[in-house]
Amino acid sequence: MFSRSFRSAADVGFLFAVTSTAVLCTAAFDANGANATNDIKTAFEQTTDESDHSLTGIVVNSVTGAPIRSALVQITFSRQLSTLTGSDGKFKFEGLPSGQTAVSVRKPGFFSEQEIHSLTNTQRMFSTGLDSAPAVLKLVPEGVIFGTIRGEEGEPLEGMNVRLTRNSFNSGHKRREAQATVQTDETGAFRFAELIPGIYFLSVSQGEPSAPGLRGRIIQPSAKGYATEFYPGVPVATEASPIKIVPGERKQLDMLLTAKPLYRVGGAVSGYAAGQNVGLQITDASGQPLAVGSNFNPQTGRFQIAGVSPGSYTIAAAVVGPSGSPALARKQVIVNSDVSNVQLRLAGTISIPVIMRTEFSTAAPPENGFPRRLAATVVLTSVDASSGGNHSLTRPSGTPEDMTFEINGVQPGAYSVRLEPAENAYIYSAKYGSIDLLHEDLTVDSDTLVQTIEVILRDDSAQLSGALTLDGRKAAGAVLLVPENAPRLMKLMPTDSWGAFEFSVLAPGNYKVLGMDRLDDVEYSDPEFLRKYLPKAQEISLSARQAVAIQVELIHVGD
Amino acid sequence: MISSAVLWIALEVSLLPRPATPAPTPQTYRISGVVVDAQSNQPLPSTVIFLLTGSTEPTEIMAAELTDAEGRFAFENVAPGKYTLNAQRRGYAAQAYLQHENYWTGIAVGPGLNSERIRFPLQPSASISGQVFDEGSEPVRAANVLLFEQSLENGRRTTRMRETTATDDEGHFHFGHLLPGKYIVGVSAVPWYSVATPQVEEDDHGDSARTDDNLVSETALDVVYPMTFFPNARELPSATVISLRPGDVEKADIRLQPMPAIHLRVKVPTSDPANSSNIQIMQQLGEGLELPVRTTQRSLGPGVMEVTGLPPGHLIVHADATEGGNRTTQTQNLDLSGDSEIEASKGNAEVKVSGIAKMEDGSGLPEAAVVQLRRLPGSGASFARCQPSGEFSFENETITAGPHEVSLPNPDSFIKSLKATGAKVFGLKVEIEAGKDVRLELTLARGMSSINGIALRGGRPMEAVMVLLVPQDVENFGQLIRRDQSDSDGTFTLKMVPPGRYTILAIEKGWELEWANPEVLRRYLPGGESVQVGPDGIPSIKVKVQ
Repeated sequence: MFSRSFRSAADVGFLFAVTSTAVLCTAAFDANGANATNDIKTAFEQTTDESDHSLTGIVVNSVTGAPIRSALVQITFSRQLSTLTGSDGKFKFEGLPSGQTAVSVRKPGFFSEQEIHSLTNTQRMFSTGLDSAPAVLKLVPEGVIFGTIRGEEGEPLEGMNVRLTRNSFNSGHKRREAQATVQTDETGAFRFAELIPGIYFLSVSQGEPSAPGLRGRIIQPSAKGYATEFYPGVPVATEASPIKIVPGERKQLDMLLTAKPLYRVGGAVSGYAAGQNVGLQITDASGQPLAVGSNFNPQTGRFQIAGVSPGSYTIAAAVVGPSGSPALARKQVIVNSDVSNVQLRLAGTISIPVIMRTEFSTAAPPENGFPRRLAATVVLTSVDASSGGNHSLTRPSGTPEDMTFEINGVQPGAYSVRLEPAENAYIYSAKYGSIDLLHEDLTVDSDTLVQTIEVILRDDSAQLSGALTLDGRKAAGAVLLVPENAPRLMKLMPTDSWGAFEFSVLAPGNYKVLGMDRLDDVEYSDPEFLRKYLPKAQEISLSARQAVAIQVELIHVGD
Repeated sequence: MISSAVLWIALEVSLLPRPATPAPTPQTYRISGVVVDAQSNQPLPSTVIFLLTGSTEPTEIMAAELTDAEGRFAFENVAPGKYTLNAQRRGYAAQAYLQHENYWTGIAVGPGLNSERIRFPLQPSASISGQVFDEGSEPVRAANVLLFEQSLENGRRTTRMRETTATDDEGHFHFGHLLPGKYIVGVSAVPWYSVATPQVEEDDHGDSARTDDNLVSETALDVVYPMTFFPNARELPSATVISLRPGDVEKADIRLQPMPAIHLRVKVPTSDPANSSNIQIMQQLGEGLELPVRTTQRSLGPGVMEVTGLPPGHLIVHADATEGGNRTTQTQNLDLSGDSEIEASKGNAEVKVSGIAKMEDGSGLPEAAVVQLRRLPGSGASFARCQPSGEFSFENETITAGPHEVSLPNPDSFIKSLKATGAKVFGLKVEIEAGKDVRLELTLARGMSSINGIALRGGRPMEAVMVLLVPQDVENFGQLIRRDQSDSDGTFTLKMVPPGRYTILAIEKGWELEWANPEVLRRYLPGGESVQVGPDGIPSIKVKVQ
């Protein structure tokens, strides 16, 4: 019956303690959340006689400050109340009891600040009053990227796949995350709306052949086609220009594509038994499988893929289906003419055992009869260019009872190992035989004995919070945190719009803390970058279970 | 006859390189001509022309080429036979030579036949685009925009839904690649701020436990947008018809006005063990045009369901109800203008239709025989597969009272006679009554033939005329009508004709004729050729063009 925000308000009692009834105070400070909410409801029902309070406010555009009309404002007392703002952006709820409520605001084309700063998930609370000051609620306008894809004669290209990826930050790591893929229309136009501020990358690739019944799609009878290109017209993802979208921005990006000759890629697959099914896949530089015809002769192992435009591709062969043990082969090919002799040797994949041990700092009783346990996700990322740089395999499979797992289906190669501990845990150590995975890559091949990844997790983490400042005032930016003895575990995190940041689970130890004014377009793990800016970082030492709050001066990075 | 979908699948094949020409035969010919804009007569360069084998069921692409700067194309070394030309160009609809509906004129190649100097007119495509606004003149995102097409299809004036799209963040929508014709645009959307559906709110907050007083909706925001047709009609018949000429670029902006949402209480029989009903609501837009309505349903306590989010208007409610241990789906037609209450068990129970099919000569049924039941008029059909014993039953199909046509879509066999218990039979039609289950008895026979002929005007072959084969009792055997379009040498083929008495008509520009209307057809029947088709067909026939 109560919205979650209301419950969380009760959980943090102090936010709630502005009221006149004794019943409510007791309830609010009750440690048991469930009882508290019930009692609060009772309290409101008892005070309905004095329902003379109101809540007023205004909804504004966070960029322009202009009022936003027809926004939906919702509050929750004993039930949800809703209203739309007027043409002046103002709203008013009347006949309320005294108390506090979270206020949610929605409007198509806008985001709430909570939606944009995942860090600020604490709801702001507003008090009802007899004559209280109006609440000011800001909505952040969406970003839009739109444009037209044309051929060399300026003709619109219909049915091209336009793909948008975004830099996202997950537990201190930056990655490109798929946002959406659309097809250009009859006029070659594409459009992405509802974009949160950030750094985006755009790529265009040949659409799939037209579906039956789709009228009017031009089929190129000639041996020409379009290769995958990244904005502003480069063939590989690493050369793509970052597209920065700030709140409310509408950015037009047009691209001119040149039809290129299509080539054939042929070769042979070996290392499979008679009767096994072999599947072939060719993916382009953006990681998308190509919609081209391929044929494979299981008798000879020869394969041929037709209609490949110039570019860099990864060709993968795998034994598919239940016929025997899984085997995989991958090869990167650069196509700028017919390629005839790609050799794909199917090799059995490797299973790596993982043991996860937990060291508890205190002797705690078992929870619900089970021994306490911490866990982490192991992510292996291929560092081998020939496998296309794809994220390879990942989560442990197997039963967690004995905290031993197996990572199956790993191809021979070199991997950087990333460990993502579940809440409350940090990585104390991670080893593969004698290799320290916090410092070195993991290399596996099918010839040497497979060893075990041993991970030790601990729970006595430290906490670091604080704010970025610029000339003595708080300022938004990003925080780079580099552990002195394990630079690989560096974390990057955006602050909220008031400059606040928090790293809640950190391994005890020495850290360098860098406050930066840019976030998305810095290659923060680049050694060159670190050499240049780390000397400017603040040093801090955290001991077990210590919570430290600091202020970090914002520095300008990049050009 | 072939659907254009099949043709498209065939065209995909062209992506793979093929030998350009067939092996030369002793005597070969040439297919050549020019592609022009159907409106301006200007030649069209850089048009893709495909040459396919066969004139009615082309499957293989023999060659493809681009027209030159003067719009010319030429295929050399073509063996005698019949071929299909298909053209594609940006800004034009993909089409076969002189295509009308799913028929076109094949190119006949051989001694004394003219397969050169073909003039291939291409119809430029048109488009309709527009913007959808709400009551405050703000764009409506993600509105469902429907495009209806009014056309003559199989000689009948029909309105059918052609395609749907969604508006973008600016409320824009666009329908491209449209052939000239008559179109209607409709919008179905839910007000983004609507709080008529408390369950949706629960999802937003991840809460599941709510007490009833939370569900009291605020009437000001408990609204829906009724289905709205361009420019602001509530009903399909009063919508403005957009007539597209070739190359037209039309605008169709639509403004939505909210109305109070209707709440429908559905009472479920208390004897129902499930104590709830699976309710599906369709909005009836026109004959044979129904659109599902997005609703929210919840239980108001034992035996009462509430459906919210309903627009006013003609609604069809399908509700499950169990009575006497028997679960049936009941259909009710409602005309709602305000909150209402209905009982799930009242209404027209859907009719169960089953039957048996047997060959006349006692032989085995054709493989994968399927019986089709089509509601008249309209395009929706139900299908039932025959067991080896000949038994069939329309299970899980919504069949309601009214006239239906029974047919057997099969290339070898046809329905020779139809009997029914529980319904009256007229030829191959049954009149199904409400609440009365029907048992059909089909007698099947083999022996359909193809009729070949030539359309003549003043004794000379005429291309691109519509050829119709009309059974004597067209009223009750309408499914036996066959159709073709004459090829470049005036010849035509009417396939799958069961024995019987027919009239063959050749009508110039027949696709512009509402020929399925008996009044219209009667005017042409006297000018046709009357034929008695036996099990072995008839010899080639000459038909005068009207």
